Amino acid sequence: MITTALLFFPLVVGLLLFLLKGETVKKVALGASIVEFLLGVVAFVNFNKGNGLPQYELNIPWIKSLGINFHIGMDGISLLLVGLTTFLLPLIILAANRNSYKNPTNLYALMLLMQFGLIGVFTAQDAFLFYIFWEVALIPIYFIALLWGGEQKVKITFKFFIYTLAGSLLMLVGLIYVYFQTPAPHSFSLTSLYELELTNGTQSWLFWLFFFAFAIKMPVFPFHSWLADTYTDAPTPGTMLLSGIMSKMGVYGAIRLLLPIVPQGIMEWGPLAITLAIIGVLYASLMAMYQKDYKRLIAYSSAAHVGLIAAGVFSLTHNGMVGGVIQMVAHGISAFGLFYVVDILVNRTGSRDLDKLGGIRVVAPNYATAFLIILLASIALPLTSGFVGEFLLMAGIYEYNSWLAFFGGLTTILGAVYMLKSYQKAVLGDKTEISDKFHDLVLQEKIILIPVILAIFILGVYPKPFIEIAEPAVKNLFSLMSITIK
Amino acid sequence: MKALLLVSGLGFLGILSEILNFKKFIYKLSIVGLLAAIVVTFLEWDNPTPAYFNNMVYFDNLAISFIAVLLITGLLWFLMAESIFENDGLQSDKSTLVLFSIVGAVCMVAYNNITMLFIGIEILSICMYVLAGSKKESLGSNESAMKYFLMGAFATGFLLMGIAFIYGASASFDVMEIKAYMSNSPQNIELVYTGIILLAIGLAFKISAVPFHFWAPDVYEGAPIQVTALMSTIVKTAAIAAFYKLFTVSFGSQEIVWSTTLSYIAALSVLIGNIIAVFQSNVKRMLAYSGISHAGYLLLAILANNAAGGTALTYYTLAYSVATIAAFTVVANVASVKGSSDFTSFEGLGKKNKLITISVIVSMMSLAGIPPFAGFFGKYFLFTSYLENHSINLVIIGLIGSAISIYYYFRLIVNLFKGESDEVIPLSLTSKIVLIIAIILTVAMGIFPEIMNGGW
Repeated sequence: MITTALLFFPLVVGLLLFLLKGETVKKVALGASIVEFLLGVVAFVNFNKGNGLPQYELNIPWIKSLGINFHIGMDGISLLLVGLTTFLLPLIILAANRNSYKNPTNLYALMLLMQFGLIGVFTAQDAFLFYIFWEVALIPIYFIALLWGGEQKVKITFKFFIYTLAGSLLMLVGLIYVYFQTPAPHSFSLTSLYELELTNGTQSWLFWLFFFAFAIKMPVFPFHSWLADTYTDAPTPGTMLLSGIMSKMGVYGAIRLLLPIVPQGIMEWGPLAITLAIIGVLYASLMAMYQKDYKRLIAYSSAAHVGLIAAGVFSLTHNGMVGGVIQMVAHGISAFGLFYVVDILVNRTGSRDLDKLGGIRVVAPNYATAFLIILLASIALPLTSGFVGEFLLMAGIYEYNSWLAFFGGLTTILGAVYMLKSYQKAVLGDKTEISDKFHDLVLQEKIILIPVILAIFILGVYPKPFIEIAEPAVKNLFSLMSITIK
Repeated sequence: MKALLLVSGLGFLGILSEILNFKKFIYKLSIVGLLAAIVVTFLEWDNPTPAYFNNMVYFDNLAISFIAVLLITGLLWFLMAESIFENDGLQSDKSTLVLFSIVGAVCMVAYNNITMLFIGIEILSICMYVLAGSKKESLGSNESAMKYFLMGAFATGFLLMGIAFIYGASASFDVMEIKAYMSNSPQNIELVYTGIILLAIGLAFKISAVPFHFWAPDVYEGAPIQVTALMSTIVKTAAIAAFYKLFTVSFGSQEIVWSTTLSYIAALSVLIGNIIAVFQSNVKRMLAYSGISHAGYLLLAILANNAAGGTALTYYTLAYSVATIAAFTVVANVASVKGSSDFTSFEGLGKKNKLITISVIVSMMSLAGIPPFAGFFGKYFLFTSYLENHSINLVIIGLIGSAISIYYYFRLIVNLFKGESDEVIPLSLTSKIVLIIAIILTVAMGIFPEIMNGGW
């Protein structure tokens, strides 16, 4: 029941918003997203932590002749990601409020529709439904980037769209293939797909069909080329949605479909996938070091973090998997925070160029502190949200292969280097002409940053409830893969 | 059956209106008549005695689904084409021709005898030849009619020859008797094979599949835009339904003869249609080539050679027709203001034209096969029906084609948001109704994809 409400509420409000005009739109959108967040809280409170199977299920036939059910529900992993989505959306809407976008009605409506698609992806228990939501989530973000993007928007959004759609078409082929392997009458339900025992040869090529789709979405090296342009060119709310939530779709898809359906394929190709992920991590970190554009720098750092999550998940260790799930939530929050503080910077100074910034802390100490906390969370300092996830991830990768862990660990160091360096350049330093343009946080900005900082500390200091939610689902996943947990 | 009579009656009413001088009502009468025909068609669902006229026509549920598709498309077409029924003294001629072409189309989906199929094709085609040339003063329209007629005449020749060969071998025109003949290791096998291939060529002309597609872009471009909309929806639906029935029922047991040929035709149509569409600068031509690629997808249902293929076909033709009519409605309105239907005419229209923008987005995404719109499920049903008993190769080609098609369909969407323009394209009431119905249908068919299985 609660899953249904969580799923359809943003859709209904989003469609209604198209009919409204003016200031009320913002208020309705914000109100709806807060109600949605409260629904998410209710789901958290009532969740049975001991159970690794999906809860709050709804299962009704949709396309009977093809064995497709409208089956939604949440296990721990879904719940955490749904929670992340409902937590971030009010903040993103509030953050978008400040910039005066033309046609705001459509922007807010599209954001809510995006939430509908994302929650659909995270709750679908039927592979066909998963695919539908996978695509549905793509459409609003495409239009957000196309309509409110920067100068290169047409070309860049096109590349983004073609890239991701090509990936998902491959996934569709894979899904149709496994569908025909289920005993007649065929079914798309995840449980029946999990029960399949495919031959090693089949799993070997099926792995790639699924992997491409998820690798493009994450993105993993060498499918990352759409990322930096799209993140930079999209309007800030779009970038927040992309890096905060949508980049998790790829990892989530890998956890939900790739691992349990083709475990032998993972055994065969996992080493390659994990190596690609680590290469991507290093590549993105190095790229981030040489960026002058602040938004681009964060885009690359985001890619590095998601790459590490992918590596942890593909390590197939308990620690790596739990760490991956926790880090998805933590990274979503810190990525949102980083893009937001940079957005404030860009808005006040009119520049994203690191060389031209500086001397902000002198005039805006609160801003500088908030920025620093979010930044430290992003580079995984202990007691911040980034630490727990990244630590577990590294532990998992280390159990898998110490060399890969070494190279993956470099990203933490590199991350600290480029993040602190950029902070030093942009925020610290003596008073400059930039400082005159700057003023400290206003009320609305505080309202956004305080929950983010609170979340960073809660996750960092007391991550136990979140780990407890994730663990049974991860265990269930491993039992589906029928391999022993290391 | 009643729908067939009703629409024929409407056609005659059109002729009478010329004599009895009530021409100005004929447009509204046609719309009301088509609405009534749709209702009557649905009432005939699960008809206990489907055969009429000594087995010449047969109204089973599949035929009724196709008739419903044709009539809904026809109704939407009448609404979108209001402007060609202006008081120019010829409106009764035009409405009569269109109504008779629908009659021909209904014969083509409900035939049970190949002569009836031939009669249906000819009724439809002759009306279309005249309609293509209905803009008498336009050179393009004349060229279009001439080309269409010449090519159509060729196709008719092939068809007739094929029918003669099949008759020569089986000594029957009846679809069921031919089926019985084909299933029991037929004599005169060379006559049968030649006949089947000739029929396939004739019908491939009608659905404009590669390599029998050369007429389509020129004819589409030259003909009045409303007639083009009619050609790319009703003609294609009727031809593919006829194709499906003939090949899966009558020749189903001889699959080995035609499946390889048709597979190549399907693959080539999908690839060539999509690739050439990428390079078009005119939206009408782009839609013509996209129509060629859709012919390729539709052929998959015939290649599937099973009942699921027929259901998939009804769904796909409705999804395709509705989206195409919406696209042509927009193109017609934009072209009438801007004077051309090039991609550049659409630049910047996304600002002030909400309905046009939403229609373009929905119809293009549906044609490109992006969920949750109807076009996606259409393709999906086609692919699964084909995969029930075939390998995945053609489906992969289909998916590659889909990926290419996104480029040119999205080009139209992107153009709406390119550049600055405050131009408002005025839409007539009927155009608005068509667009709204098309959007609702395209979305609703996506949410309730079982609509064609009687799953409502």
